[in-house]
Order: sequence, then structure tokens, then C-alpha cells
Amino acid sequence: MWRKNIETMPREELTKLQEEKAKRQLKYVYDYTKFYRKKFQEAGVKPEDFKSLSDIRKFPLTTKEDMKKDVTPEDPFGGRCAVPWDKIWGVHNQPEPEVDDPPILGVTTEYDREVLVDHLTRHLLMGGFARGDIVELQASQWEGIAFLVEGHFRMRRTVQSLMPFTSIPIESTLFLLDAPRATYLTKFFKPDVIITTVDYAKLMTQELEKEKGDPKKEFQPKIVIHRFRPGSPLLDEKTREEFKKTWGGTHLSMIDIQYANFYAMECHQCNGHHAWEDGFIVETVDQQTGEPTAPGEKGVLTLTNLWAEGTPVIRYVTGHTAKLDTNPCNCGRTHIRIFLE
Amino acid sequence: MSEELDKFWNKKIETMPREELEELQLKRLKAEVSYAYHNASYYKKSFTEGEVTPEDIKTLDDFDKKIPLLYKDDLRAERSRTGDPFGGVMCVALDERVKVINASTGTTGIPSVFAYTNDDLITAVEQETRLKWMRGWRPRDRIYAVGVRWHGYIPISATGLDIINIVGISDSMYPLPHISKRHVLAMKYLKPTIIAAPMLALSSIFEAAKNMGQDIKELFSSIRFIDTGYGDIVTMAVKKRLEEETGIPPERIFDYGGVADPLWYFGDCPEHAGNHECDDLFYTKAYDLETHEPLPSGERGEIVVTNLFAEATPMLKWGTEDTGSVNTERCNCGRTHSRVTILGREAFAANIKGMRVFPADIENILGDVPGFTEWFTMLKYSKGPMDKLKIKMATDTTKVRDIEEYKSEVSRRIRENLGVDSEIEIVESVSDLPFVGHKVVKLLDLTKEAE
Repeated sequence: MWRKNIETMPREELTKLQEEKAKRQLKYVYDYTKFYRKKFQEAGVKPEDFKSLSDIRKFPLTTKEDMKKDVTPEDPFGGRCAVPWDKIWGVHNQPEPEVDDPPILGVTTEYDREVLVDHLTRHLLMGGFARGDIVELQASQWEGIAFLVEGHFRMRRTVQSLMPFTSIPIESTLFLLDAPRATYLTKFFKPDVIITTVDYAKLMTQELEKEKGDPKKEFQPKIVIHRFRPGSPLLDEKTREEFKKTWGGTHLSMIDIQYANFYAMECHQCNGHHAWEDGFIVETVDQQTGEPTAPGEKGVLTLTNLWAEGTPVIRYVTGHTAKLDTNPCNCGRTHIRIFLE
Repeated sequence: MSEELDKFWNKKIETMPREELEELQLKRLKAEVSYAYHNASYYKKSFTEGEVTPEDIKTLDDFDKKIPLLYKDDLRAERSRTGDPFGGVMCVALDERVKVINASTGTTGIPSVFAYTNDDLITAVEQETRLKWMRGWRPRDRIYAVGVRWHGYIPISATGLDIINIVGISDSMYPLPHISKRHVLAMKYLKPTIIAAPMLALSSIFEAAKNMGQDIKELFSSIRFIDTGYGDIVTMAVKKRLEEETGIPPERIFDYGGVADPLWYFGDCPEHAGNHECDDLFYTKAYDLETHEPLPSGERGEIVVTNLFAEATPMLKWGTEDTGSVNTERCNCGRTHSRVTILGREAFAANIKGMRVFPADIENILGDVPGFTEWFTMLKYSKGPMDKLKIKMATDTTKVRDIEEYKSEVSRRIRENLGVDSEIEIVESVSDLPFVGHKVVKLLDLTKEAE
């Protein structure tokens, strides 16, 4: 584990930590973003109304539609950006292939990056990544995961600067056209960790089949992480079994929700996606009423970011149906696990 | 800061007198040759076959004449012989000190593989920073960068965002013609000051903007510089067409390019008189295409590059297969480092009755033809010299009155400029042309398919 004291923190302590952070974050978004000040005022709540974790239900839900409402060329972030331009490290467009007009844009600061790097380091170590590995990362040029995991340079903290490894960067937008090159590199170097998506992994299999190659022999993967992002399907049990048979190795699923700066990943128990609750309040809400559903009951996954400086989200409705489990996992981690439908 | 100081990122090096620069090159060259010879099995072998040892290299001239040339195909052959993906040029153990393994795009087939150590990255970033600063990138610029996570991109993103402290505006999609709406919107709302994008990406953005009814000149009104090239050759014709679309004059359109394997990149300065490279980090010369003899400054031949700093995969006398010239005269901008002008890939030149025609030649001619969208493919239909040039070109047919008349006008211009006959085929959209990766195929070899 990367941060054992946090990853195995008993539930009561975790709740206390979340409450403390939520108090501060709710005040931060109320003070520094027009978007949430207006939203809270309309709902008749104040940051001070949050006293314990269950109070989070008093605060209004945030949907994509809300985030788009006030976007103008004068304020491209629709009142959601809490920092001045000078503090911005990067601006990120919507991750979906099809964008809306106006677009939903996100912002990261240096601090945002550092926290995300910490979250992803925990995830990767949980997946079995070790210092000195060769890691092949298939992502688009500017996706969060690309600039958080690979250490392009010594000046910024990334997973690579914390736990040095050799990276093989693959551009995924052009993967359809570029599949042979990626397949060659995988064959040559047999990476220890491949971060891919279900679709790309299938393309690589096809590419190998053209020359009658066997992925099990040619790639010899140890850990394959299948990223669930807009446009890429979730790794379901049937697909996992197929990959186990054709590729060999351990296949894990990862959720990547860029709007909330949120990542969650399975451990080797393959029993739900671990989220980091010291960074998020994870809820499920009823599709119709918007009321929170009990743990174990189906609902729409809703995320509150407890640390972001740039464009924080409070109770962001992701649109994915999920069940939650707050019981500790067999791997020893106490944080909540997400089961996507 | 005085204006003079603001011009350079590393003034001492960039304006170093030519003799001192060449002294420095020789010193580093000797060290790199010896390092490669003692650490890479490929060089030990090729030096032995060429009957040369590192001690024989006493002058730049010795290096030009004695060291064997290195081609992609040599490394491929070595790779299939030994099974070593690096083809025997890797000088360090493959552990965590190797930061990145990458491969060239493989436009011409199986990719060639190279790597960066941490120190390689640091030097590559120094190179990038100088080239970017020269093109006018400054702190707090907002850059809309459209690129891919291939080779050059790694030091490039680090430079802009981490060293010059530029704000990155990013997108998770590469602008191919059908998904460019997002790029138009991002530009409209975020008003970047620099756009860095290959030609194809730019024209995809133009196409999308037109479809959305967005005025392109207005969309580009916040842009200080267009940074383009990235593998395509940016001729004056291209710059003029970009000006027509965006209203940004050629002086504010910069060319940037490079060759991935030797980690070699170049770009043009505000004088726009050839692309500067970093001579303290590379040793570049043009070689005669037939005799493989080094050519004097300014003459046309194959560009051969030697990397003077690589720790992981040094490339000594890397034949780029690009034809062009290297000019070592001092530039009006004050820089003493040489300027390269690239015409095109030798493999991508068409041989018409002995006359070599490069896509860049065609582009310079077609640039003024109304309705031409800048995308075309030359067809190679015979192994030997061909009778006439066959070209498929994407044309905005709404701007053309009579197709037949238009074709013969294009043929006439080609004949006038190059003295060769040609046959023209018109297609409506760039997507009707053949693609490899994100690049339009400039020369399509039909003889290979026939086999």
C-alpha cells in the first residue's frame, strides 16, 4: 500500500476526516465560485448547515446541465472556476467524443495535480504495479491520467517521479490507425502493466491475429487495467473471463470520471472499485427523487470532491447506476467500493 | 528586460561564434562516438566493418568521411537478426532510469524504437525551450496544443507547461475532420493565444467551423502565433493559405518539425529564413544523394543528423531520408546555429523521366490555384522513372467553374515550373485521399500493391 494509514483507516475516523474536509470545501466553493453560491442560495442552504456527514443531502445535486447553464465566452467556466488564470495549470475539455455547445470545461491547479497523483499512486500500487516496472499507458494526449502518471519531467510530481518506472506512451485517439505500432511495442517490451480500455485491448488482439500471434505468448501481461471512460465500455465479468483466457494475467477495471477528478479501481479481489473517501463523498441517489439510497441499494453514483481548487464539484450526478459497499474489503482497505451496473 | 535579452532563451549558446560552436561540436562528437562504440553492440560492429575506431576521429571532417551512415533499415535488420528491439544501439540497462521508450510513427512500416533517460529528457527539454522561445512562446500564453503522445510530444509538453509556465488548454481528442466541433468550441470559449497543431488538424478545425457557421477569422482573433508543421513541410504557399483562412499573416505562422529517432527538432525564427536547430546538441550535414559525400553549406542533399548528447540510444550519422539543405551562415536574428530547409522525403519523391519531384514542389505550384485545399497525393505507378506525374487533389469544387479546364490549368502550371507532364484527378474532400495514421499519404506507391 502507498498510504497504509489512510487506506486502512477505520470507518469512524474516515467519516470524521470527511466531515472536516467537507466543511472546509463547502465553505470554499460558496466563497469562491459564483456557481455554488447561487446554487446554495437557491436551495436555501449555507455551508454552516453541514454538521455531520448525513447533512450532505441538504445540498443541491449538480448535473451536467447545471454546469453548462452559465457558460459564456466571457466566463468559459460558467462561474465554476475558483482560481484566477494565473493559478491554472491546465484547462480540460469534455472527455466525450461529442461535445455540447457550450462545452463543460475543467481546470486543474498544481495542488489538484498533487492530490490526483497521490490517488493514482495508491490505485496503481493496489493493482500490483511496482517500482522499476515497464508501464504502457494508452490514453489521449491530454487526458488526466496521461499527465498524472507519466513523469514527463522532473519539475512536476507524477506517479513516475514518486515511483520511477519506464513508460511506453501510446496515443489512444489514433489507436485505430496506430494499432500496429502499439502492438509492436507491446510485443517487443512485454510491459508489466498495461493501462488500456476494453476496446483497445480487443484491437490489439485482432492486430496480433493478423500475423497469427498469441497474446498470451507475445504480450505476457502481468497486470492489465481496463479504463472505463466516455466512449469505452466497462470491463464486465464475461469480458474479463475472455481476456483471462486469451491474454492471461490479471485484468482489473478502473473508473475515470474527469468532471469530478475521480478515479476508482478494483484490487486483486475484483470485488468492487475502490474509491478514496479521504478525497470524496461517494453516494448513490434515486434516479427520480434525487434522495440518497441506502448502501447496497441501486442508485445513481454521485460524487463530492473534497479537495479540488480549480473546478470543484459538489454532489455531481455521474449518470452511472451503481451499488455501494462500505464494508472493509478482504484486501484490508476500508474505503467504499463501487459496483457499477 | 531589454528587448535584445528577451529574444533568446540561452543567449550565450544561441549566439556563440561559429568557430567556438564547431569546437564544441567536435569535443562532444568525439565523446559521443567513443561512448556509442564502447556501449552499443551495433556501433562496435559497424565501426569494425567500416575499419574505423573512435581514436581515428580527430576533426569534423574525419567524422564526415569515416563513420558509416545509419539507416532505419540497418536497425531493423539488426533487430530481426538479434531480437533486440533497439537494434543494438541501446547503451544503458533497461531499468527505471530509462524514463520513456518510444517509437517513430512507422509511416514507412515497422516502427523504429528509441529511448530517453532522465538526462536525455532534460537536454531534449532545453532544446525544445530554446526553439519555442525563439518562436515567441512566453509565460502566461494560453496554448491550445493539438498533438499526440508520440515521440516529440514528451519534451514538448514539459517545456511549454513546466519551464516557460504556459497555461495548457487541452483536449482529449485529436482533431480528425469528423470530431473537430469540440476544438472550435474550446477556442471560442477559451481564447488561446497560441495554437500548435499540424496542418491536417488546422484544416479539420476550419472545416468544422464552416459547418457550424463560425467565422474563422473571429475564432482566430485571440491567436498571436500559429505553430504548425509537425511533420508536414510548411511552404510559403501553405502560410498564405492559412492567412487567407485565419487572417494571421505569414510572419506570425511558424514552422516546427523534427526527426524522432535522433531526438532532433527544429523551428523557424521571426526571420523565417530556414529552420534553426541546436548545433551544440546536434551535428547536421547534407550528403550527396548518389555519392553519399558530405556537401558544403546550402547545397541540396540528404540530411544526416548526429545526436551529441543521447545517453540511451545515440544515433550517429542518422540518415533522415529527407532531402534538404543545411545553411551555416549567421542568421539575421542573431543566432549562429545552422538552419535547415527540408524539401521532402527522398522516398516520397516521384521520379519523372529522371527529374525528382517532391510534394513540396507541387505544393508551391498548387498554392496559388483557387479552390485547392492543400491536400493531394502523388501516385507512383512504376518502379523506374515514370512518364508523367499522376496527382489526386482535394479541391473545393464550388470555386471551380469547369473541371476539365481547371485540370488542364493545373497541368500547365506544373509543366511551366517543373517541365514534366501530369495527369490530375479531382476529389471533393480530404477524406477521399489515402491516410497513414494522421497524415495524408503524399506519395502513394501503387507498385507495391501490384506485387
